[in-house]
This record gives sequence, structure tokens and C-alpha cells, in this order.
Amino acid sequence: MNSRTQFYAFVALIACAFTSQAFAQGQSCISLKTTAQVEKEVVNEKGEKSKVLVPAGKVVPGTEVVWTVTANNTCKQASDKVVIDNPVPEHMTLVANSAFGAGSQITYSLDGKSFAPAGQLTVKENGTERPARADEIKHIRWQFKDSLAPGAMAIARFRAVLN
Amino acid sequence: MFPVLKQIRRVGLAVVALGAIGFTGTAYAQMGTPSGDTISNTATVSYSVNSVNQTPVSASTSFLVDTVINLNVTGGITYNVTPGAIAEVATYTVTNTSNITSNFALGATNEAAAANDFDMSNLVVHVDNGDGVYNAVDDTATSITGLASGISRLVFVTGDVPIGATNNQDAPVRLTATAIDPSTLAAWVNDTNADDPNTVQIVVASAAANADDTFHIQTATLGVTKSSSVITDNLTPPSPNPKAIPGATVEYVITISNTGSESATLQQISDNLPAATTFRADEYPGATDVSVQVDANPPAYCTSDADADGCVLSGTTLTVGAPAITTVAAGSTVTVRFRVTIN
Repeated sequence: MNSRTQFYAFVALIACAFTSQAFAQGQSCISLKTTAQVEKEVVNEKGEKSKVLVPAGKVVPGTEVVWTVTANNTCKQASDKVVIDNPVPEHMTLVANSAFGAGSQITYSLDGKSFAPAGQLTVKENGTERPARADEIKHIRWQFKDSLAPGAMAIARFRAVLN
Repeated sequence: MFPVLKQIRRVGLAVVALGAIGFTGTAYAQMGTPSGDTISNTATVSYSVNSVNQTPVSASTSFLVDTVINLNVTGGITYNVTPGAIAEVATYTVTNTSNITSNFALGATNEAAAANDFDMSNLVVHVDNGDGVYNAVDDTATSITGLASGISRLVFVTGDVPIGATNNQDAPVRLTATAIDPSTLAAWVNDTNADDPNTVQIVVASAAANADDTFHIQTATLGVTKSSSVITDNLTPPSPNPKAIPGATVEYVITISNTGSESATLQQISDNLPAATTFRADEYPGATDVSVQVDANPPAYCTSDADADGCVLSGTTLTVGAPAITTVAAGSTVTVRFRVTIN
């Protein structure tokens, strides 16, 4: 994460709270939140099955977790060049093609430094280049094309399996 | 606060929520992320307002890895045993595939399946002390305690083979292992409460597992026959097709056939001469009294007096033993011949 010198009197605080719903504090225009959920199959009275997302409670190796990041614009001005960066959590393996974010271009990184779209990620192995596997992806990035209007929310989501 | 970043291991997993856990052939020292580990996700957003870059904002959330209880028992070995054998050993492997240390209660039973021809008696469980070799003196534990995640332990089951078991019969013996919570010394209890990301809850994927080893009888199967034929009626001249009249010479033929899988060590063959007969000496080459033949090989001969050749007539009992006859190999027949006179 790059720190940038500010010329405005914004005091931005970076919070690392460890609660199930964490909010960023301070006078920034984006309120950021991330949640962990799992998919549960429910059956209604008619016997129809459907899937719902519930908070991730009982997570054991092999469980697939749905991670969601939401960015809310809390200011009166639009925010542009909104980019969400999310390292794949430790002890987890990214589920291929699971990253989703309406209105964003999604790129991935194997080393945290260079990013590329999914189809262009390659690894050099034994002198030849091969496509990178999902478990080699270390970072995901969502670059939102349009600016985020005041009061609007940008959503990014991906799935990962606990090792 | 974060655990040291390690290479993310590829554990072959089916992508289902709380589904069965599969793993590749190699046993990893840690079977999945340890129970109680914290999994955190940190997202960072960068943005600008009126084209002025703002300070990036981060947010995190985390949950605790819960306990999953699972185990694996392997067997599938066949042991060849002899009827009447004591303390034969079958080996099994118990693996803790949970993500936490667990104890395991063990039980050995005769498996009543279609393949069960007989029951082993006196089944006893002996947990290996770690050297991988069964030793009644060292391997005295009857349950497994403190088996770490991903680790295996050998378990030996001893049993006695009933003397009445016959060749090629099978006795499958099942080892059942049940995962036991070391803190309660009772079976792990599945947490059915609502999911809580902030406590370590217990998920019992599999509470018990079992595997069978088989004791397979490999022994000799002896069949004995006795027949007789009239050699000559000793008349002058001898009749063609002699009949069993007083004075006639009758030859007795005793066959011992081994239709089993293992060689039989004979201790002795004894035969009581029928009443109204008298043993005839010198009926075989070299003035010998008894013929002993293995299959179609040239016979060996012995005399009925009390010497060291293994054959002796004592009163009306003829006994043939070592060194005249020692073993009957599998698939082999030993034929003993001797002659008597009808009184």
C-alpha cells in the first residue's frame, strides 16, 4: 500500500479493527467494510431449494468462504479512481473465476507488485511459461471505471477455500 | 498478530461448504489449517476526490478456524495362520485427519460378514509404542492418546486361531477407532449451536472409522484310507485269484494324503492288527517287514523289531514314525504297506 503526501487538511486514519463488521474511521469519503459469509442451502415450505449467504461461523478446512468488500461514498462529492485491493487471506486458496465486481476491471497479482487480467497471468516453470493456477494468486484488484456518486456503494466479492 | 506467512499448501479439496475432506496420498504433518487459527481479510480502497488523491482506507474482518474431527483407519492385509496358533498379529494404521490433536478409543471384533468362516478368540488391542514393531512387552496401551493432526499410529490386534479351523477358511477382524475429545475424555460432540465466528466450535465430520484385516488358514488336510488285498492263498500250487482263507497272505495298504496347503509333520502312524491275523516278517526286499512310499518314488523299507529305523511291532500294534516317515508335503501321498497271515 503506497502512502501519499496530502496537501489537504484531511486527517485520514487507517483502521485495522478485527470485528465481524469493521468500519474505517476518520474523515475519509469512503466507508469501507468487509464481511465473511458462507453459502447455505435452504428449503422452503414447497420443498424448493435455494442458497442464501449467512455469516461465516463454523469454518473448517475445506469450507468455501464468500468475502465481500463494500465501499460507501459518505461525502457530498463524487469519488473517482476507486480501486479496491485485497490480498488473498492467509491459509486460503482463491476459487478460480470467483472474483466479481459490477463496473470494475478485475486484475490479479502473483507477487503483489504486477497485476494482470486472469487470462494473462503466467508462471515461468522449468524454462517454459504456463498459465497461473488459482492457488498461486496472491492479490485481487478491482478498478471501478465510473466515479462513485455521493451515497453510492461499490461492491467487490470473491470466494476462497480454507486450506 | 498474523501467523507467519507460509506457502499455501495445496490440499486436494472438494469445493463445498463443510463437505467431506479429501487429501492427496502423502500425509501432511498438519491436516488443514489448525483449529483456533485466525483468518483475516484486509481490503484497501484508494480513491480521489476532484482529481486529488486521497489517503487509502483499509478495513478488516476475521473469524476463527473451527475444529473438524475426522479420522482414517486402514487394514486390508491378509495373514496366513495355522489352526491352534496363539497370539497371531494383525496390523492396522489409524490416522488423525482432524485439524486438532485427538484421542482415539479402539475396539477389535470378529467381523460377521459373508467372508467370516470362523472367529478368532481372545482378540486384544495393542497400540504401537512408536517403533513400528509388535512387542507384547512394550505395546501395552489399548487406546491412542494425544495423536496430533495429520499423524498416524500403528495398532496391533492379537488373536488365537481355533484348532478346528480348516484350510483356506477366513476370519476378518475389524478394528474400530472412535475419536475422543482429550478435554472431556468422551466422544467429540458436534456443536449444533448457531455459527459463531469468534469462538472455536466443533464440527464432527466423522466420529468413527474402521478397517478389516483377514486371518487366512493355511494348513495341511490329511485323509487316511486303509485297504487290503489277498496276495496269495499259500496253497500248492497257489490259486489264481486267491481268496481270504486261513493261511492266506493279506497285504494292508494305508495311504495318508495331504490335500491341504502346508506340509504335515507326522508324529506316528499306528495300526492295530485285526484279530485273527498274524504279522508276516520279511515280505519286502532285503528281509524287511514294512514298505513306506512317498508318491511314486521308490519305497523305503523298515523292520518291525525295536531298532532305530522308526518301525516297530509291539504286541499287535504296528507303529511307523521317524525316520521312516516324517512329513507329508502338500499334494503328496504316503503309502504304508505290511502283510499278515489270516489265522
